[in-house]
Amino acid sequence: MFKIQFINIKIIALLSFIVMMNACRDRDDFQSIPGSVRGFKPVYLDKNAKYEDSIYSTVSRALVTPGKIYVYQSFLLINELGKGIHIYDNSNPTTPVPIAFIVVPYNFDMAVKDNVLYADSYIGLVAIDINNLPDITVSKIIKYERNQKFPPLPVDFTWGGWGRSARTYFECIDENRGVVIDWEEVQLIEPKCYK
Amino acid sequence: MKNILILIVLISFISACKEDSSSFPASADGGGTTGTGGSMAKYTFSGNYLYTVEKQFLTVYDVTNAKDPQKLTSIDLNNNGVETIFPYGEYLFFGTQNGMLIYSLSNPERPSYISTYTHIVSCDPVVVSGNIAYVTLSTGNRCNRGVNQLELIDISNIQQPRLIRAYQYVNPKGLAIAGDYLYLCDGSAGLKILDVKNPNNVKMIKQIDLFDTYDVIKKGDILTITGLDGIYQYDCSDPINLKFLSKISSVK
Repeated sequence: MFKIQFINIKIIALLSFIVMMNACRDRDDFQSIPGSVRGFKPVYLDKNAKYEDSIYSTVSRALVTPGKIYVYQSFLLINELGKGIHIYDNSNPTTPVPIAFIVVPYNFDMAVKDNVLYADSYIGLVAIDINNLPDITVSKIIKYERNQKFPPLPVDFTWGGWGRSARTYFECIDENRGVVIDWEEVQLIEPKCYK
Repeated sequence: MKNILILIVLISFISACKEDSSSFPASADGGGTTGTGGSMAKYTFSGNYLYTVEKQFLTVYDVTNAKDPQKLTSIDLNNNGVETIFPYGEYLFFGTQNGMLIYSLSNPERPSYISTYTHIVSCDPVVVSGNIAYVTLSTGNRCNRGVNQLELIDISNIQQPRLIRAYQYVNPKGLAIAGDYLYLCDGSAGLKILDVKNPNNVKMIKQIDLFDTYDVIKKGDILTITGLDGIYQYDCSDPINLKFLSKISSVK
């Protein structure tokens, strides 16, 4: 009689211990796996591609979250927070004409000298030749000295750059698919990663 | 006698030139064709050098050959909240979350620390004109303990910047100086035109209602302003009677 009770107590203790462990793990990793939720999906750089390939000129797009501005000769440059740079022909300031959008992941700042645009990016300082707009050439990248495995989740982009990431779900990184250079906001189905 | 007169005139010319050049912003001399950023910029040129702030580091690049920048040095500013950089004369001014840092460009390849003007923790840029630094302090996401004011700081003694007076505004951020006038992005209160002729008595002349303004550039007669809902351009050939030119709307 005594013995059975003792075993019961031990089983209960063990069970509660397991439950507690799980509770802790849930809190650290993710609250619980949601069915469908907004989150981020890694953008991989193909293993055969160079980082330069993630910086390119594309057709102009609408301003969504404008950041810093820069005036160079008859051009007006407008940063799109964390995404790149809109370039306008501002020869006539009453009607600025969009020329191109230059995709630069994690860009917030810029400056231009002698038709070379300097922009910050996730990886370092990028020098971009803008002599033949809307075409561009990446002339040089000078990497920052830091070892961060992947760019921060773009939850909290502000005018000054990225702040401390707010918590969010994301699709887990698969290193076999290459290096992560950016994150894309998407609807995720049962994401297994949370940060 | 005539010769002596000519000599005196010559000498006065030379010293006049010297004074002019020393009070001229360094970003405008030498170094090819460069553009103009806003007061919130973390990238700026002085001569043939590009100065950038990334986290707490000031990095210097030689951009003599623009297409082939060379990294020269990275200096730890010992300050985690560096937000803006502004070159003026032979100095670099940094707006940080706890004050204004002044560095010397006497060796442009390796700027050296001169002094700090400390203020309450707040977010913010600095612009300089003459012997006065204009610093805005505003509350925001990252610095919600801050205050909302414009501070005029006497920098005639660069070793010891001294507060002249602080003025309260709504949420002052980017700013641009134009002679006796200061254009101030005052957050939800729009753009303010201030008369700063007398630093002890700054007066608001006009307010233009714009949606959440953030930064402003004055280049020639054009004022370019960023707001949360887009980019505005005004003709400022008459500094207090701005003429609307265009708006590039954002779609959010």
